[in-house]
Amino acid sequence: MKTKTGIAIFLSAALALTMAGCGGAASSSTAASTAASAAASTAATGGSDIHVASWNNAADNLSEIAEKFNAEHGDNGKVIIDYVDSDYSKLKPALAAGSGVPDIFQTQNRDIPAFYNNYGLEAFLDISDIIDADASNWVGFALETCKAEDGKYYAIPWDIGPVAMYYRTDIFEANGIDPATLTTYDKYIEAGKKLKAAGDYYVEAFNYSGSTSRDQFMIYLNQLGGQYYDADGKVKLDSDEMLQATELVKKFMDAGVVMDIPNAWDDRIAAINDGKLVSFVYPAWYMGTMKNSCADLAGKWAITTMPAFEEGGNTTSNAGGSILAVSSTTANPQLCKDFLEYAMKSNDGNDVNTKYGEFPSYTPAYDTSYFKEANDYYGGLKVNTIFAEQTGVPATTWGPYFVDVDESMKTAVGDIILNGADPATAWAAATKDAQGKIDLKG
Amino acid sequence: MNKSKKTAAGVYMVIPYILLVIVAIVSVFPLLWVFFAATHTNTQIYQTGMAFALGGNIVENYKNLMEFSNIWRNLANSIFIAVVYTVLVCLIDSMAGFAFAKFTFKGRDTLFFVLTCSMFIPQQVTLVPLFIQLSGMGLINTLPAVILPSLTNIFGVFLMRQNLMAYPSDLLESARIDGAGDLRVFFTIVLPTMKPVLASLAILSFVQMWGNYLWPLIALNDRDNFTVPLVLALMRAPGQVVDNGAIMLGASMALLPVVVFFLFFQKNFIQGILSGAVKG
Repeated sequence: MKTKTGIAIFLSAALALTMAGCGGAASSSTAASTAASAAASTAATGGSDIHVASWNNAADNLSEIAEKFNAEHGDNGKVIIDYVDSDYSKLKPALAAGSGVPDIFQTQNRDIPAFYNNYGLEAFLDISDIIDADASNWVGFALETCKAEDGKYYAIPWDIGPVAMYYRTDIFEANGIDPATLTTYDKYIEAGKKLKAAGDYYVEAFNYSGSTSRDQFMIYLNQLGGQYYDADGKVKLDSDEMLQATELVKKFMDAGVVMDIPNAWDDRIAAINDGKLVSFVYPAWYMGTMKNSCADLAGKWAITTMPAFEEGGNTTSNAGGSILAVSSTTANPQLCKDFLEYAMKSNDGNDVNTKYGEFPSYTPAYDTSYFKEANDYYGGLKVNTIFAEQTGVPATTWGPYFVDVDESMKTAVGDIILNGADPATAWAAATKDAQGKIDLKG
Repeated sequence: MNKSKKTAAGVYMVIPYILLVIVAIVSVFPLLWVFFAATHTNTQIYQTGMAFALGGNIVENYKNLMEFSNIWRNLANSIFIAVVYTVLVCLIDSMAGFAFAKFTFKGRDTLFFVLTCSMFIPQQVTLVPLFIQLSGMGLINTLPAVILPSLTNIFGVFLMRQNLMAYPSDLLESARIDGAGDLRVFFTIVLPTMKPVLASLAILSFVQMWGNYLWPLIALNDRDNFTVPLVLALMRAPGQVVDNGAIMLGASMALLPVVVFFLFFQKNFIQGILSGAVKG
């Protein structure tokens, strides 16, 4: 009681001072409207409102779904989307405090095992009932990641990142390269050499320092069916698959057909816009970026199956994707489940997901007419259908400490690419390093 | 002979200016680029050799920025938070500094030592306890939640104390003999002479709060309550669509108040730094 009075006095003093300090009008209206919006958000219609924390255009996507959902199901509380950062800086203190946690929150697919482990399953709400109803309808590897140790689901898969080959149709055609013949990486690299001879063209790009280029390793490793742990659950980065992936990266570099993009995200976009990067193997979620940031090149790009390591080999891989987890502190579990079912399982919800480039992991969505629509940016190809055929990859075990594994991977990749370290030695060192960090955490 | 000596001296005089011009170009270049980029489309920004010329997309960028968040509202939030914080920090820190410098009370030096030690506590460690405390007070998602936790700026107390130590105690004595109370002595005798150092503290506090990101990110939920850095950072979060044109426009709008604020206090700022250097 005493502290509250103190705070009240303090705050009114603060307010008075600002009015004197900056002329008043703007600041006092800010304070007043803040109070008003706080009052509005606590006013519920029926059940209590739920907050969903998400970021960037994934949050735009959910906002559109929530708008539709609220219009149809407004009688048991509203769904409100909060924009947060993707580093979980906002989420983690709330989870640690056990209060103020958003009812539903987005994490990257590979991060959810760490959340389960760090905050305990009791921090999450069991939503198995909305998943078990038709578990076979989900893309297998996406669902597998959401399953906790106890076999229950505390999170629902959202988007995935099936990988295919993006290429410039005009430049391929002008140089007499038929993408259908690029069935293996060897042939792909040969085509790259031909293009390189014809102009300042590159067929792959990654960041040599390793800070982001391990994405490329992860794509290849997944394509080869590799894992980050051995059968006993110990870190194993010097696996045959990883060494094979490394060999491929070196082949790309030795042939001179790959670009170094130190600032991976921005440099890739710049390289595409400059017409230097004319093809690359990358996930489905990149389509939205190209449409937005490389708008002038619409109609010049196409997408096809990625090359295999050997003739007839696997041509599927996955990179990225996200999930939505539910907090056990939610005051309205039913609304959380209703919203997730609508957003992830209904055609209405998945049409919005598709529209925003969040590639659905619920396979019935692949049959909707919206999903199958031709995409003008990619010369009228039914791009979603092409990607939908690439979803059969084996599940990756991320483990609760993938952050540590990831750190060691970055170091190893930089060592191998920049410093020319022997791959087997560098990966063995990374294995030891990562396992050591995990052992420390017990 | 005499003339050539003069010329040589002239050349030496010119060199610092050349260096300063180069440094000025290097530091102004990115700022100017931000303003020019604010008028281009996202695709144009990514094309190498984006001209240092005005593009035609500023209206569209503004529309996209406003679609993400009401940037004027966010600017008002930023200004409110930064100004209240700056005024209160200057007031509290100068009073505390005065007490530590000129009052004698039991445990004064120990208390000051403990306070300065608290500067070693990293911000990250305090996040969870602060969050619990402020959500207990029901202040999460309000603007005071951003202002309150950092009000006792120990660096500011330290700065004010060091400057006030050199303040002649005789002056205080004579004011007291004339019948002035402590508060009156502080506000009418001491504070007016502290203007330069207060201006330094004001600039430092303002800029620090203006660019504050981590704590506001944790404490604020609604986009209507966000400060400008939050809006810009969240627009830049990894995802398929990053509209750099709109972000640059927002950054331009965020830059202007700081530039104005700095120009306004610049003279005092430099004086403050110098006076601190001599007295400290």
